[in-house]
Amino acid sequence: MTRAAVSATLLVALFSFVLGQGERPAPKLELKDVEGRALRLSDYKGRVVLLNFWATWCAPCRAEMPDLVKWQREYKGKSLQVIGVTYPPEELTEVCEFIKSIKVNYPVALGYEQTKAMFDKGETLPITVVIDRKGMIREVIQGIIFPEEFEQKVRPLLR
Amino acid sequence: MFNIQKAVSRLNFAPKLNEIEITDIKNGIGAFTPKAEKPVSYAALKETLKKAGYTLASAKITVNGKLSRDASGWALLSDTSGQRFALEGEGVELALPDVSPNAQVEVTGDWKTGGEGKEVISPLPAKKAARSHNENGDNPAQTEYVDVTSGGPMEAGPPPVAPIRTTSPGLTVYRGGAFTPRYIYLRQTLAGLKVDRHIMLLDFSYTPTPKLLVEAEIPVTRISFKDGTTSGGGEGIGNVIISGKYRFFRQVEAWGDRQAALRFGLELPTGNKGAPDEQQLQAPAFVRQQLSPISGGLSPHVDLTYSQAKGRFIFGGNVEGVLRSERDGFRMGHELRVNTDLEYVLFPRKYDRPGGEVFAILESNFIRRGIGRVAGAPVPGSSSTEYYLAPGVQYAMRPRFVIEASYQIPVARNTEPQVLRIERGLLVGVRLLY
Repeated sequence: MTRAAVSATLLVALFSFVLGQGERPAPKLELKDVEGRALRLSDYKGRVVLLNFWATWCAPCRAEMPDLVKWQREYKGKSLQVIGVTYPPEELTEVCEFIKSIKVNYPVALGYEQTKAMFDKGETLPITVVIDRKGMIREVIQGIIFPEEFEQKVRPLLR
Repeated sequence: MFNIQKAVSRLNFAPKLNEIEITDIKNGIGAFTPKAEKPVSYAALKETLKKAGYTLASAKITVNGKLSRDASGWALLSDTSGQRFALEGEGVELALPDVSPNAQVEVTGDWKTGGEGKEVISPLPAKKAARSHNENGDNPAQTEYVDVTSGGPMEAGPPPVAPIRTTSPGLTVYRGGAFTPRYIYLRQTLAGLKVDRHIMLLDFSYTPTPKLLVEAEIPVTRISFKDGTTSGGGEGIGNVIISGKYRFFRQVEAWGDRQAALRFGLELPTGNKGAPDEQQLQAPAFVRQQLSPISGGLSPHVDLTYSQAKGRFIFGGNVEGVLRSERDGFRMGHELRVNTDLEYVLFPRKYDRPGGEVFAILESNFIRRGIGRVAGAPVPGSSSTEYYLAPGVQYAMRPRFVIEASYQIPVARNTEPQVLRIERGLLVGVRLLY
């Protein structure tokens, strides 16, 4: 085997390895938002989507939401789309009251345990799924998403 | 737990995420050993936890170092980071007996950040460091130790409120609905008469708002009897009860939920009123009527319930009144019931998420029933006062799937001559929430 062939093989292997690091197409997801309207993930193709799983009873979830609101406002022009998905058990009135109180500026859908399980099998909340413009899952950020993580894992996709 | 670890691991003096230990999930206590060469900051720790939604209630720190004393008082210089910790508080002299400047000590105490970023320890009694440690100059692997208490609720699963059982006097109001089939077996006797009553109680509930639960209970009953000379039986649907329960009070605390609800129900005259006739059973009419699936006609039920959790214990109690009307001239007496429910959370020993909970249960039921009627006339000898205990177990396998079983034992029965006496009762049920 020539040196070029070995290099090519290595490159292909490396490429496969990099691609294998969590990148997969986002599943088809259709939910109802808090006002009962249909919300389809596929409608946001072409945008960088942050799919944020949260619950009103989860203190870290509530703590990170003002940052999500801020990022949605600042990067809307760069095609960032935050989508909130609640995790049960939830009470619709509490969800509505909370998102109103912090002026959430992105859609919030009512999710189920199975919805979160499509992206992450763990128990941690919140989680934020980073989906690129092509609809590929680039990252599943477990726990609260801190500003430095946004800078490192989301900002590069917005360029 | 993960969020606390993640928040703390952001600090430049913190170790890796998996080296931050949460030692008590319920009370939100964690511990970690900071990087040896990095100065630490209580204020930074507090801020990062605040950012993650937690409140740092207090922190303790252990530092190995050399004592020093100047005009501002005692201080400790960390062996590893060289960071200076001011030692303050009323107990400093007490905590550092027989020590002089330059002494090598290990100080543990409450940790705060004072003005201008000064780290302050209010020490507990200090230990002199081991001589061998001084001689060889090695630093212990854990030079500093931080004990973090977070006052905020944990992530991953509902807040760590005490798990609440879902049976009587169940208050849990879920979003959505529940289907609860229960099988109840009762053995009743009266002199030589033995009655076996098998009831399949189908309970459907739905929660249209967070505080309101509407419910329908449909009993299907099979009764068999024998009195030594004759035997017989019957079956049929009992009276359907529709009810609405309003939870007017709820206080959620960590393992200390308190809630109260008021329920109004209406027992509808839907049941099979068929009872054995005199030829089938030689017994007074009132006794024979008790062998039907019903206790009367249209009957309102009123029920006030309260439950309180404390630590691993949950206590519930309810008072229920049933005002019975006649059906074809028959009814049992009006009823007053006082039920209590004491529960102990056997498992999990550390509660971090819903599901897999096992409860040991002890229920008690006091029932006072007034004089009944048959053929539209009061029946002397038809009232009763009874008291039962029912130990049981409930397994909340998943937050939306619960299995339960209990066994009812009579403790006191003051039943008049025409009332069937319960000898024992068995309940087995499941609850499916959707």
